[in-house]
Amino acid sequence: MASDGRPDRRGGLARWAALPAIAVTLALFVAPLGVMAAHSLWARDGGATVASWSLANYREFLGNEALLAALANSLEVTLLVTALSVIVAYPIAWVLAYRVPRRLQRLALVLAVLPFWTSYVIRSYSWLLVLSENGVINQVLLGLGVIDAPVGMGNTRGATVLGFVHFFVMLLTLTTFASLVQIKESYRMAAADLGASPLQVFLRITLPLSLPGVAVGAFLTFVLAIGDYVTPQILGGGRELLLPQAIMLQVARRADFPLASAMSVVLMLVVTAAYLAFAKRLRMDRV
Amino acid sequence: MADAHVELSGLGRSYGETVAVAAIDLAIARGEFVVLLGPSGSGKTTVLGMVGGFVRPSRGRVLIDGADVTELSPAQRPTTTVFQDYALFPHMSVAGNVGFGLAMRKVPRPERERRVAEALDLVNLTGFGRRGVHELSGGQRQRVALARAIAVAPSVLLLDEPLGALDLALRRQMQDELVALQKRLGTTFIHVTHDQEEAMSIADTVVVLNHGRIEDSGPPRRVYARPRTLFSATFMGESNLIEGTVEAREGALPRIATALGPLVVPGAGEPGDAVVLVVRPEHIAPEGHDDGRPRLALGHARIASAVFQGNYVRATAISLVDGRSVRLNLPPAARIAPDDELALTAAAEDVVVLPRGA
Amino acid sequence: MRRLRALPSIAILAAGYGFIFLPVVVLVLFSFQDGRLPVPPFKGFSLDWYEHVFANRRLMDGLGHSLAVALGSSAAATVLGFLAAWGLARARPRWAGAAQYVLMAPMTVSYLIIGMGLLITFNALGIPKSLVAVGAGHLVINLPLAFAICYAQLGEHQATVEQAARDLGASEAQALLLITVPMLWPALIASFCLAFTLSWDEFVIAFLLTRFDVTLPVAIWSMLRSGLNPETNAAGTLVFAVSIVLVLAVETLVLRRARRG
Repeated sequence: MASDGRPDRRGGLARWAALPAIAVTLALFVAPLGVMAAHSLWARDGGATVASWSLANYREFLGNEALLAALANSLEVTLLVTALSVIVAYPIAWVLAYRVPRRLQRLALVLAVLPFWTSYVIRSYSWLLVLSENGVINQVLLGLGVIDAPVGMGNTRGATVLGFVHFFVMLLTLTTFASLVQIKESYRMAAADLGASPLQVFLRITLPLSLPGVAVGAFLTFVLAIGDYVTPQILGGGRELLLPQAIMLQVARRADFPLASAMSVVLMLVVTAAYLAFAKRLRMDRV
Repeated sequence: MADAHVELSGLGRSYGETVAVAAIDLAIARGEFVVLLGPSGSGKTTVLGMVGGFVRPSRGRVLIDGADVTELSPAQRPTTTVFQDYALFPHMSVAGNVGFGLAMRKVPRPERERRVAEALDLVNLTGFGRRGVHELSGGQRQRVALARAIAVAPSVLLLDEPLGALDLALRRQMQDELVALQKRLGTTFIHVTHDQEEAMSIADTVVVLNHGRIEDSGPPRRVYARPRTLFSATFMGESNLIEGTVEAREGALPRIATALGPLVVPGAGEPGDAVVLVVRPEHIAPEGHDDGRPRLALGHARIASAVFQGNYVRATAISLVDGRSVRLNLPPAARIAPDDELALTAAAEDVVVLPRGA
Repeated sequence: MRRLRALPSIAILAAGYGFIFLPVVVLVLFSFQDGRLPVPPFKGFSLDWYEHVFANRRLMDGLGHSLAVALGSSAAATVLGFLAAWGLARARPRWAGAAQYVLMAPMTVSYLIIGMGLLITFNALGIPKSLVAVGAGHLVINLPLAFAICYAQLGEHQATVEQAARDLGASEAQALLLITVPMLWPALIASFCLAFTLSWDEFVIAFLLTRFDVTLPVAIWSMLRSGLNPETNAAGTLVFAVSIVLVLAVETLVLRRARRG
């Protein structure tokens, strides 16, 4: 009997329709994660993997300065990227929501998000072009006389941050816009009517009511950025490694699946911790 | 008006080709409860918006206490508005909402809390300060919106159809409370509604609006009994309309030729004028009813329907003279059934004479 | 009258859009560079590099592989996601909540980790790296999206229409194929196009799970080894153009439905 009391129309088909998708997810997602978790507890011996069941890989990770640095760098960069992206995206979203005429809003949004649809390999490469010694920025700065010689801007942490922020500003503009637009206009009118200046309307009404939406976007940014391999690899150069790059190194160069697995598990734990912290916050806001 | 509290002078608003409000002139006295009454599209909400500062006039001025406030923003005007959807800030408590205007005026906390409590008392929500907005019923939210608006002691309170979302019983109750509150505060209230019963219950002055123009304005009693235009006659309550032409004047009174015969009715009009006679359903009675006042014969009619409405019988009849449909109200005890034939009469002084184009 | 007030807004939009479009403009502009370096000055308009792209065996093969993987994995994701959404929305078994959780879970995990998991597992099972493996990976990441999009469209209204069809004698399969699928057609197209775009652009999983036959993003990646090259610009611009066309197709379909509905 269907739960809402309607007559049972299930028949055989609907009951089983979801099973193929579930089977695929279990086989190609859940099981591999399990295998990876198992590998994190195993060891590499010569060219093969030995099921030794120990925490050796985790100890190695925590004991290895370079690897720990990768984790620390990832956290630093990701938090910086999240903060900067929110700060840059919010004003853009605000202008789109409250200053752009309604009939143009959709078009403005589509435009703001258009570069989203270049693949991230291409986008990072494009930033390399812009930041290179012969690139646009250097040419402009040279032309303006601000610098005497071209400055190598690619292959730095700054370049990585820039590449990330560029992507996430687009994402956050979308989510923040959605959040701002659903705040009833009458709230802002009432606040103004009661004597609030435009700045006060923003600080007391608009900003607090938009924060839940901004928080969701920021969380999404954190989770997506911390797991990204491409942007730091293309724009960061070899100088500083972030966690995804360190993981890739273990796999590609050393074929050390157990250690790579352990590092991946740590990455997943960090994301889960962020999710739990965020979900708790969300539940509190709901009340 | 010599020392009007609020004055609208040639105030108008157009949107491109469309005229929402034609140039209107209105003077409102201090402490008056004014109701702007009209159907949707009449411009009443636009007028309120121009007084509050949310709509920029296309022409004309708004004066409050003699000062021209036309260019001022809502925050700078001595008005506050109660919005149709209440617009209570969802992320603040009731006390936070009610005290918001005071916080904007930098009133120190102890005084602010005192005035918030006072305002909540005035709307019968004592002790509700701590509650969250989402915990309140519709009627309670409406009162909080009211409390928030009066907490700052505005010079003029603007209300945009505030009772529209309430059920009938609650609406009637709130109407009484609004009137009591207004009398107690002495603040000038400007209230917008499309409900003419509501307008008649609460207003000191009713201003009837249609298509951006003022059709009529005055105390409810007068506007109802002696409407100045056809629209006002038919919008405020129901009316029967009889067309006619002034034949002559019999002493002080015009004699008007109509399809029902010549009728002598107090009113203005020179021979040759085209006029319309307005007769309300409750003023029509069958022949034989006599209250000592001169009565007019309105011809015979056959009852088409008679429906008991509790405190009166609502009837329609077809005139046997010109075939027109007539609306009349009869006492609840009246023994009337469809197909009965009656001779209809009305007291001459209950009939209103209006020029044909009014 | 209030023009001055608009100035900060215009400045913010100009700066914002400028920042967002800067790399894309540079990419596209210098793909037409008549010269060896895709950096200023712009020496003149030339389609040479596009010719190079079309002549590049590796890139063209990669293009074909990408198309195949995208088509296959998107079709599979759309069909399975739709069936799952339909099954859970109609039958509403007790385990629907848990099932939803499982089906949406891949959205919370980084592509790198999904790819890693598959790599290690396939390696342990002796399954070689291949385009099929990539397809499997893309199926995993696109399935939750297709499921979510279709599930959102299978509300009460839609259920009533199906019920009416059953009432008139249609079997479950007939109601599904003749009523539900046509009604959900925009959602299905949207799921397919979105999945296609994500698969088409996807790098990490493709990189981990291929060896000799690679997809386009992986082929472009190896082009990066040779430094800044207008050929790379041209390849990137083409990928961008295809993605835009797909997104516009989805937009138009969604718009048309909104206008009709």
